[in-house]
Amino acid sequence: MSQRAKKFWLVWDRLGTLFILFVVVLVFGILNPRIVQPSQLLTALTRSAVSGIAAAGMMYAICAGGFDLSVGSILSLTSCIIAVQLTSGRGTVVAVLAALAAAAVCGFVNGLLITKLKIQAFVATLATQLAFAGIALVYCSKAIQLTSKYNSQLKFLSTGTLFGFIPMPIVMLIAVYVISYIVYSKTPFGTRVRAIGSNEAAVRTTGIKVDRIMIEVFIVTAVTAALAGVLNTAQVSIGNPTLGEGFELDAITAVVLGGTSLSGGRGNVAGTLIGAIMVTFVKMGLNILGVGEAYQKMAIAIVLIFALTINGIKLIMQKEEK
Amino acid sequence: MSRRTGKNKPHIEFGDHGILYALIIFWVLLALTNENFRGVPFYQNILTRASLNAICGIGMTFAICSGDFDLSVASQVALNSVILTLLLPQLGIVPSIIFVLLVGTLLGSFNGFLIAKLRIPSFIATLGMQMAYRALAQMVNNTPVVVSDKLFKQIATYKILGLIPTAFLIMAILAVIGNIILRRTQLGRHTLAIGNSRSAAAISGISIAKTQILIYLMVGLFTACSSIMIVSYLGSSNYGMQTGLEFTVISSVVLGGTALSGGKGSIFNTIVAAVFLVTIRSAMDSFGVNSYWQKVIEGIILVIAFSITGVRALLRDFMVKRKARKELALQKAAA
Amino acid sequence: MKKVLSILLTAVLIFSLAACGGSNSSSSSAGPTSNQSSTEAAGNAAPEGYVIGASFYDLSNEYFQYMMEGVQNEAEAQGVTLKTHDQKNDENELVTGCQNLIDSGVDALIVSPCKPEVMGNIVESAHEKNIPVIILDIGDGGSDKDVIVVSDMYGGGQIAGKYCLDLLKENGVEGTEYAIIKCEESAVYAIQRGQGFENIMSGSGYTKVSELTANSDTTQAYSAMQDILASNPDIVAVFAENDNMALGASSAIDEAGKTGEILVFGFDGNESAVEAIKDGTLAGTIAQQPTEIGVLGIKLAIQRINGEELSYDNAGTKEIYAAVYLIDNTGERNDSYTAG
Repeated sequence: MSQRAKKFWLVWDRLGTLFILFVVVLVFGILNPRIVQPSQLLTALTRSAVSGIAAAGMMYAICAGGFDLSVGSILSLTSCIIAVQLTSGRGTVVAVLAALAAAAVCGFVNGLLITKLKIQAFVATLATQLAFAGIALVYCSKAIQLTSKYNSQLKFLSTGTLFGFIPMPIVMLIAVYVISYIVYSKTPFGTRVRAIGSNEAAVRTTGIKVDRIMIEVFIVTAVTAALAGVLNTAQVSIGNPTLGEGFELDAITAVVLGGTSLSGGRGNVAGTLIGAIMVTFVKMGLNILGVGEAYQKMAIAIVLIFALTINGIKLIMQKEEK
Repeated sequence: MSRRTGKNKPHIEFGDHGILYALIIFWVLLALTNENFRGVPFYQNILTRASLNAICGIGMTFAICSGDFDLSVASQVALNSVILTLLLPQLGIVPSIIFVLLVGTLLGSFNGFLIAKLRIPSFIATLGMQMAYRALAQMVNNTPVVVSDKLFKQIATYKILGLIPTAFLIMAILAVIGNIILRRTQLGRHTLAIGNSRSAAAISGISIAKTQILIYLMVGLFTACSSIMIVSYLGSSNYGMQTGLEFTVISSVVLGGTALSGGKGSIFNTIVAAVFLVTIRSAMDSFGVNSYWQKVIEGIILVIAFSITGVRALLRDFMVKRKARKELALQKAAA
Repeated sequence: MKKVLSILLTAVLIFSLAACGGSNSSSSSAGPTSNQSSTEAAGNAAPEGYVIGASFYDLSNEYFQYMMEGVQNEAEAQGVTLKTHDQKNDENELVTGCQNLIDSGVDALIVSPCKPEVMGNIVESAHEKNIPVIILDIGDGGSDKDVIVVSDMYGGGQIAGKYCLDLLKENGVEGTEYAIIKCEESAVYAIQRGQGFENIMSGSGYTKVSELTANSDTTQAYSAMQDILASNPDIVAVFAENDNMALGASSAIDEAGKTGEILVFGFDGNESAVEAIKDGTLAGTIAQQPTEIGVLGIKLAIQRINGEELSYDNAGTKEIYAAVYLIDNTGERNDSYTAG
């Protein structure tokens, strides 16, 4: 591979996803200028907070070489816990903390299954996806509407603003990603996660407690999913045991689009954020264009495949030079 | 063979039919405790139903043996089925079936192309195609289609001599074919080799790309067979059908002992595992287990079953460590 | 050996859970399992000795929970043994579960099918053994069932439309734009609800400016509503084809500060929807009568087992209509609106 190509791929690694986002925004802007109005772009940003927050945590799981298919069920469970607690008279803070605590337990369970029982992440979280969904249903069999009596404080997370103009969801999103960036690049935890993802066996020989870190990773994933659930519940004002169905796909898509390698070891914090924004933006744009159900699905699939094809070309070119 | 060529020997314990014994014991236990499990029709239903998934599982076993999987099979079934039900009244049974098999092969090959040539990781490639094929199915026909051809519907429901379900028989034949491919052809050997160690396989001259395309082609083909059986069983098609099928099939394969990391696998065990999973559902229904708890239980059962290898590994670890400690103690005593 | 152990563990798990009374969720006392016989009503109802199998679309859904309650209560009252089954919204479960019920020798089969198009096979199989098939709601998929009790989806949408027009007039609203939020296309029966609403609204000079699908998902409906508002800020009404979506949409409208300015209507009559109505964020919903439909199901089943001819509302299609009714903005039932 020529020097110029090498440079190109280096730049692409850092900015590729951003470039694709620009292209996407451009295309939609041409199709319907209303989509790229500032207020609309702000809406897209706000709307991407839910999947974005969960994707931030999911990145760690994928970086460590696994993934978490149960985040959708965790989100549903979170929503149910908040609704039940609020309508039983508990305060908002208590409800949210209870939900986050429950999610941490779920993450802990996931981690245990994967490290102590040595079940592969894919099948372990497949199983817990079922189990947690069932628990959500047992806990709360019908949807619970959070009327104005209960949701006034919670609503702030969805409609409130910081400094008078930054929507809270974006604040949450940025906060999560800033923390994630610091953790990923500046803390031993981040380094170790990456190391485990690259070569778990080697890390084990150094005496680092790999199992403990993996459990922590899955707790992180679960708690971010719960945070996303808190925001989601605030937005729709309803506790619903099926709220998170299919959600794991959104989170994983965002992470992968962002450039995090599925084989582990290389995460991309900023890329994950951009990936989440891109998916949300495409869906929003298609809605505004009035595109039908089938074509929306096809569009997302094409975006995904397109982004990965480029990645694939890069791999091929890198392989060739070897 | 392996000594001559130096290729990796697929280390499947051919005597490892633990899950078959487990299934039989399970059935006996259920028969003793639940009247449903004492009637022949009940078992016929279980076998028929399991066969539908198991056929797809044959192909999926190949994919997982090579260290990859295919998340798009549910959508492939949807697309195949919609096309099939539209063609049946026009072309008749045999031409329609042939056409659908071709379509399935095409879909599988396309997946293989993405994964082998464009180097897209199988998880994401098939995740994306899952959406695409589903969308295609919806574009082809967005309303349910009912099959009126009685003969076609017999394919999955007829019982030979009133006893053996045709679906089971067809599945068994396909399983034998699949097994022959896995154990006795070059494709099968290469599949297992790639699963064992991709770099080692590449070094020994195996064309990974070609093998992968063939693997996914087979997944597509067997999935198409599965689609035909499913349409016969349901008597209809609907673009939204069979969601979640990929997870049932993958669960069957993994439950059957084929490791997700690849390198070893058994089609026979996949089939038995598929039957086992259907048995669990039927058992829970027969015992009137609350539907919410059914989800929880299924999750727990999957965990228990999947953790067997892990528990084995833990035990092995423990035994090895114990042995090492003993030897160390002996050495110290001798010194 | 290890696998055998795990299987035994599994079996023990299932048995213990079943033993601990893990019966199907419902407040009704008749616990439906294949081992138990139903608890008799206080000796008055003549024990029929009949066994009826009932299979439901998805028991994690409020609507079908009510339907099962109706079935269970009536079965208990009539002294029939009931075997229930949950399809969990899976067409394979539908076929297998019904086939199992047929094979276990039920005298009648009641089904509320998640995918009506597969009923053809099931009905044929049941009729081979002279088992009558009563379909409750959703659809019959063109099968040769004995009877179907069907809620008027289209009419329900029309009722919502008529009520909407009245409310708009009452509030002196001048705008004429409205939107519809739809279920996924494969829900062919729910789609009729929106068509009914459109029939009335567009028939009165209103314009449908947007029709988006939210796949029956609350969050998608929330987003869809925001997108609809972005391009059509002047709409005056929104109809969502089920309550889950309606509540997501109403939340979006609430956040935009337009509660009351834009009327939101749902369909299903869920508890959560009624709460929202009382809270002022939802203008109305159309309720079906799942419990009554369930009760009717048992009655019809018993009639057919006894060999009686049924009296249909539409003999040609063997339909019996179950009324749907409006829950208006007071949160109470309002029978002054009818379909048509």
